[in-house]
Formats: sequence, C-alpha cells, structure tokens
Amino acid sequence: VTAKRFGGTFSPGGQGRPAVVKPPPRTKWSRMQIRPRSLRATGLFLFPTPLLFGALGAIWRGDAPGFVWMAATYAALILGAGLTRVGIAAQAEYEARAVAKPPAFPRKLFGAALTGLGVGVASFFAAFDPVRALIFGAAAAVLHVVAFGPDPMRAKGLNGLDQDAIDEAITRVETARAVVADMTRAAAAFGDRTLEERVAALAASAEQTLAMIERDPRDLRRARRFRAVYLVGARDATVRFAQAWTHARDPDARAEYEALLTDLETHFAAHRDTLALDDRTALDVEIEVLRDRLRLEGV
Amino acid sequence: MGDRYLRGLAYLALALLVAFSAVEGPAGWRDAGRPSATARP
Repeated sequence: VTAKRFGGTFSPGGQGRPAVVKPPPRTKWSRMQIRPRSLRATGLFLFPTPLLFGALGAIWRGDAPGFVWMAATYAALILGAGLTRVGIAAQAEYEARAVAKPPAFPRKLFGAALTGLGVGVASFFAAFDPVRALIFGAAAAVLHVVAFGPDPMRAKGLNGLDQDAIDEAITRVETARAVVADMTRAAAAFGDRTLEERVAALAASAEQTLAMIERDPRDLRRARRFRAVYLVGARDATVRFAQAWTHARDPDARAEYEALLTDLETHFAAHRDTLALDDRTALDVEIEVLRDRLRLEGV
Repeated sequence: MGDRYLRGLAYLALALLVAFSAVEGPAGWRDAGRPSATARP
C-alpha cells in the first residue's frame, strides 16, 4: 500500500488557490452594522403595565390621588426604560468606535434611578411602609445596574494622549463627517440622478477614509488635511455647482463639475490606498496636486 | 460566563420586582379604603 500525500488543487499550496486571498471590496454598506435591539430593555416597558390599568381603574373609581401616583409611577418607570434603551444604544455606538468620548449623560444610571424610584413608590402604596419602600426601591436600582451595567465613563482610544488631544481628534473626525453630510445635502438640490449618485459614491468613499483615520488615529494631521483640502473643497464645489445648476442649466459647468468629481474620486481612492500603505510622502504629493487643481477650479 | 448568568438573574429579579410592585401598589391602595365613586352607598 502506498501512501498518497494529502492535497488537491484547492488545498493550501495547491495549484488552484490564489497566493493572496483578496479581501471583499469595500462598499458603502461596509460600515453598516446590525444593531441588535435589546429585548431586555423592551421588557422594561412591559412590566409596569399593571400600573397603567391601575391608573385607569382609579379614573373609573373617581380616585384622583390614586390616579396621580399611579400615572406618575408608570411614567417614571417608562422613562427609566426609555433611558435604559437609549443608554444601551449609546454604549453600542461608543463600543463601535475606535476613538470615542463617553456619553455626556449617564443614561443607564439615570434609568436605574428612575426604576428604583418607581418601584419604591409603588411598594410604598402597597403597605404604606416607608422602610419596605426604601428597601425595594434600592433593590430595584441595584438590580438594574447589575443587569444592564453602568454607562461608559471614560474616553477611549489614543492612550497616552491628554484629554484635549482626544477631544480634538474626535471633533476633527466628527467635523469631517458633517462636511460630507453637507455635500450630500447640497447634491440633493441637483435634481439630477446621475450626479447625485456620483456624489453619494464620493461621500461613501470619504466615509471609508474617515473610518480608516478613526481606526488608526495616531497621526491626526492626516484627518485635518483630508478635511481641509479634500472634503471642504468637494463640499464648496458641490454647493456652488448646485446654486449655478438650479439657476441656469449650463452644460459647460456640468461638464467641469463632472471632471472635478472624477478627479476627486481618483484622489479619494488614491488617498485611501495611500493611507493603507501608510506612505506619507506620496500622500503629501497627492495633496499638493489636488490643492493646485482646486485652486485652478476657483474653489 | 458567570457574569452573563449574574446579569440574567439580576434582570429576572428586576422584572419580577417591577411587575409585582406594579400589581401590589394599586391593590394595597384600594385595600386601604381609598375613595371609590362606584362603591359609594
């Protein structure tokens, strides 16, 4: 019996296998994520329902004080549930980013406090016993914190940098995103499907670059230059073209704008690839070229 | 993993606490003989 060496055309090292597996192409959906809705937070909306019926019953009986406390307690519990849900969403957002500031308002903790308050008030009226109310209210707040966890409290990313630098980095990427959004909004005024789609593609491309900068934000000068040179230029050109195009449909202006879009597309792609290669010298050259180009365009 | 179970248990306890207090509160309030328009003699 002769042993046959394992391996076929598509085995590692085989003939049919390309040497390097190419990553799937990036699309505008690449950054999208499925954001799971928290079933637990949704449950918090349902559990206080008996209080709602209680409040309706109080109306039926003509019991005004009863109605007030039941409705107020129900409202506190629902508000707590809502804060918990947006707190979970804010935490998911925080965790999805490489560099992030903590949410400005600790929503989950306030949700816990409101839940504790609601449970405390409802238990007080069950037996008119303040000690019992205090214990149950505190227990509810503590259980809420254990079940949902506290909010993220510290800025993350950029270890070793001080708070100001972190703030600046985040602000830069956020400002750049706002510029991209401005550009997309201006393009909506074109009334021209083809151009709008090209601008949307450009925006998606810019978004990918921003995501790269965000993932590896050590060199923040990149972010600043990308915004100051490429994005602001693209936005201003788009806004001006939108104004010109709505006033007079000048085919020459359109052709020029399309040429600029083509240029920007090429440069965005080049910028992205350059970022990927971390080749700063080439990037500087690219920026100089585009800067000249934009100057020529009168932007 | 233990953390997950702890969170789940805490959630379950919280759910029961909220639901029971939401039932008990109104019931206790009624039992204390609060005004009732329909039960008036």
